[in-house]
Amino acid sequence: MLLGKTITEIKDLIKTKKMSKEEVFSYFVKRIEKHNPLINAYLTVLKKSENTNIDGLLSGIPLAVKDNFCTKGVRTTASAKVLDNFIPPYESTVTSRLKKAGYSLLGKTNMDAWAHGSSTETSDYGATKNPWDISRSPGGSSGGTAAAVSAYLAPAGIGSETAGSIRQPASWSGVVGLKPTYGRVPRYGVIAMGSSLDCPGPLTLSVEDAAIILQSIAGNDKFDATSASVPTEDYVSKMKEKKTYTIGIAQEYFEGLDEDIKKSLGESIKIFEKMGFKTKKISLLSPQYSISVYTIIQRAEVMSNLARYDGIRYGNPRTFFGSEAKRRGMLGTYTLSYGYYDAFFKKAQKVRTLIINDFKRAFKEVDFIIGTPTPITALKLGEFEKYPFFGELMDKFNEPGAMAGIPGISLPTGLDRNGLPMSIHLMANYFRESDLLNASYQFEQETDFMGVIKKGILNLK
Amino acid sequence: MATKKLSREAVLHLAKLAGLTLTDAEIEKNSVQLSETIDYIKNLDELDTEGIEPTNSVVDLSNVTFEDGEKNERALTSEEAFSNGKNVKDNAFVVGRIMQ
Amino acid sequence: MKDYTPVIGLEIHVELKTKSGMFCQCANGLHEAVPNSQVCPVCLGLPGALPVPNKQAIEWTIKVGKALNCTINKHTKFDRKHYSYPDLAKGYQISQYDEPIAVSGYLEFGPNHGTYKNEAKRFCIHRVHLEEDTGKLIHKNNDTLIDFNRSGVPLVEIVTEPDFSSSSDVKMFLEELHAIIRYLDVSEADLEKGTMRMEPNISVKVKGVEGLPNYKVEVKNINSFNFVKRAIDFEVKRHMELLESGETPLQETRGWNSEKGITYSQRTKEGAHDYRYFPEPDIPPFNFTDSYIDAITKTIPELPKTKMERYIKAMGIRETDAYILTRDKSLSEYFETVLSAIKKENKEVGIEQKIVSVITNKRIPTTLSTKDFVKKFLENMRPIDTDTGLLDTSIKAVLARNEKAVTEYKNGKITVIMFLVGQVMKEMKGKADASAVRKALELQLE
Ligand SMILES: [Mg+2]
Ligand SMILES: [Zn+2]
Repeated sequence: MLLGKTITEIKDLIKTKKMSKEEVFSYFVKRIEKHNPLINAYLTVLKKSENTNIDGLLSGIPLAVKDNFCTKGVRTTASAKVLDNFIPPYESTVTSRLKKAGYSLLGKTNMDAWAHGSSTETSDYGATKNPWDISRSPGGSSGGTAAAVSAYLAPAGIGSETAGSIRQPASWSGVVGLKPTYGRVPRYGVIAMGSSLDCPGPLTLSVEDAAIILQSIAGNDKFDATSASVPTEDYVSKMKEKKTYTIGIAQEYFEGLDEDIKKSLGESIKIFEKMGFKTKKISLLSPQYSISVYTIIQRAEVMSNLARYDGIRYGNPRTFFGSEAKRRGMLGTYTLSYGYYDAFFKKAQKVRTLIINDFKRAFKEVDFIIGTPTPITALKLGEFEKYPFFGELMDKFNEPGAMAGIPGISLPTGLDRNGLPMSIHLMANYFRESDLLNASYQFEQETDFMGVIKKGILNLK
Repeated sequence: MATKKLSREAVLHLAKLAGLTLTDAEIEKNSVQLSETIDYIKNLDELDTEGIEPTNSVVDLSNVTFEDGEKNERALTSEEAFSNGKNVKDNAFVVGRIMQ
Repeated sequence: MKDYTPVIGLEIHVELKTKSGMFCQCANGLHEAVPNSQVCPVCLGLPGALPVPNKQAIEWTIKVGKALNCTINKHTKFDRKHYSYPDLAKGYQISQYDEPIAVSGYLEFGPNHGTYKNEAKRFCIHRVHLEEDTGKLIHKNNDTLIDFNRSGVPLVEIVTEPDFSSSSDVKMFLEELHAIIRYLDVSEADLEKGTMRMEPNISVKVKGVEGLPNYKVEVKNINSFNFVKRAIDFEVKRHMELLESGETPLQETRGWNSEKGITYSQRTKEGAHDYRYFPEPDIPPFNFTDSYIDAITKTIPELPKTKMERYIKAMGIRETDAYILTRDKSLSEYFETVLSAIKKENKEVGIEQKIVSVITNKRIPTTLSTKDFVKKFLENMRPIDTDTGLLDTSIKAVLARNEKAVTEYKNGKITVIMFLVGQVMKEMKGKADASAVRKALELQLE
């Protein structure tokens, strides 16, 4: 009765008293017990529903939360052995807002250790398997949340993105993934990866669910000096207004795509045109440069953000760091060290300005820029080891937007020749989440892609 | 064009600064991969950034502060503060004696 | 021996006495609190915690900068400074690197400033920036205990140019800086408690040689101005001896042992420092408008040097007294309060110096309320009606008892008169005017 139901649908079931909040919660707990040993989406699972007496946007909705959000009293590891038994004495802003909205924490999901990766394989607690093909990766770093939603071990979940870590696993796992504008959703309590880039966001089975979650977690936070003071909007109702937009098509974002993905992208553009949207050819800076800018800035911030883990106040000693964290810390140290700062870090910051200006120019002409979140569908587990900066390459279409801090969404568009999910990617100007959700919602209504996805879930009995 | 791989000494120096201990295999792997990555990121030199201001933060914010003396909503109890400490004694976190 | 000259610069850290921390709301200034009882996720450096700057700390740093004649940077930001030490919660200190709040200031000293005999001098201030303090280490047997209560306390760092060539100039500068900080009311600046910490860096070069020496020695853990002076003197002598024997002193950090009066080599934390600074991504930058800076500047009170000069020039107070009186803002305010009250009663020229003398000689304690001080002062000044009959008998009695003194006086030792005046006053239980007593005594002894 519940299988594949969205947040909106579950809310309705609870409201009409067809199911109690406790029943909903225990449904997922049972499903997790059954399927998680195979999928390895969760690291920690809660046994009891919480916040059941709160009347809010998420009343009685159980959610999966990535293990880099501090949850008071609930083990939080960021999938790193360094934090093996860390029980935060405080709550992240995102999860405390979810609590206020009445959600119930189902469990904490696996991820690439410290969010360093795009496959969830760098987790110190084993890789998460893609529910569509367990020999493959669900993507990452929010792979645990993506797989949990895709296998319906949660109706929706929270992930975080530095550059692609929501959109890429959403794409590989066949769910909706929204990366908000940097600063739209507070970072307080999220174990930092790239501080100037990190963005919490939802992974869901529908665009409306993404809007509901965004509605619950967005807005200024006095504990995060980088959180935006721009007012939030009523994302859910704005999403349902009938609007038409102009979509920008940049050749730079069509290079190196898998054949099936390229075809699916072309068809999606036609669907938008059929919906009355205009399209316009534009030109943007090559994503190749964003890979470098991202690598330099993210790794410098990683080096810095990992400096606090000395095993004194919490966690294990630094000898517990895995090889990916070490690799990133090493490059971050190199580019910031004496004599190299201007050549690398400062240069990257300047190119970052160029990327921002490039988008600003483009958004004078178009509302969105279309592409795909990843050039290929889910890879086999183990592939990532072959590349020294696999994640950065996998996420090359997400990195420019991440560097600029603009929002983006990953929307399922069916399956490729191997039966693996594919997606399109829309990027919008700063704080244009409501337009992004509006267009995505219309696209969703126009197609039956989510139906295809839910059929996939049904396979995982 | 390829930079020759980073020397063992250079890798060890970086590891020391970063507070990381590397196995012999990791030293070798890092010296190769670091060089490869450094070679790649040099593609930024192709872009002219003359007169371009560096971006520290994408948020359009400045002068974000809090008022001195405002209520402390986040104070930790001793129990909370020490809850994850492995070596705690006399209300303090303890490490082996540091030379003075 | 060649003609050497010391080259000395200073780094001074001052803890601000804000109510909250630099980046969190934890209570500041509870030095006696139970260790680690004043912490939160931010100052304990928990995963995911973020800093938000304390507005008061920013404004007070601007205030310090302006008081030290600095230029305030209209655009400023915080940076991360990386190094590893157990008392540094995040593995980096949030500090300021290339855009400090204030730059290029100076302190000027007139000739014979206070108790210092010298020509007019100016010492330049390189920069004033804001950062966070670290936790505290307590060494006990085989353990080092860490208390994070001090972690994240606002800390202002003042760096001078290497403008000093004598330890007494350094002492004069530090005393003046200390007085200024206290006047600004932004810090306890208590050397004992470590809320003001001073680190001289010292090197020595041959006089007349251009540029700076190729080494410098930093001395830490000094908690008094005198010790700074002595540590510098010790170092300068040590360097000269080394240089004279053809050696270059080692660039290092040394500690000060106040019992032995020597400095000693401290093991340096790391080989070469490489702090890997980069702009703090968690804190947006600051932009200050002129009017904002002006409004803060207006809160700066009259500073000790200006006040001292006013006392000397406008009130005719002796230089040394004016110096002593202006070391402490509350003492100078006490003086000005009693002065204006006394002036209402007594229009005598030079009354200012009289009051100052009474204060500096501690004839009336300034622990009294200003009202009581004024009362007592005016009482002492008022001529007392002297009972001439009683005066006559008293003088006779005193002279009869003090034949030796009388003889001495007659033999020319006229200062004895003060002793005799005192005796008569005592005899009359103070109910006499001292100058009338003296006149009568002198008449008797003619
Ligand atoms: Mg400092
Ligand atoms: Zn605190």
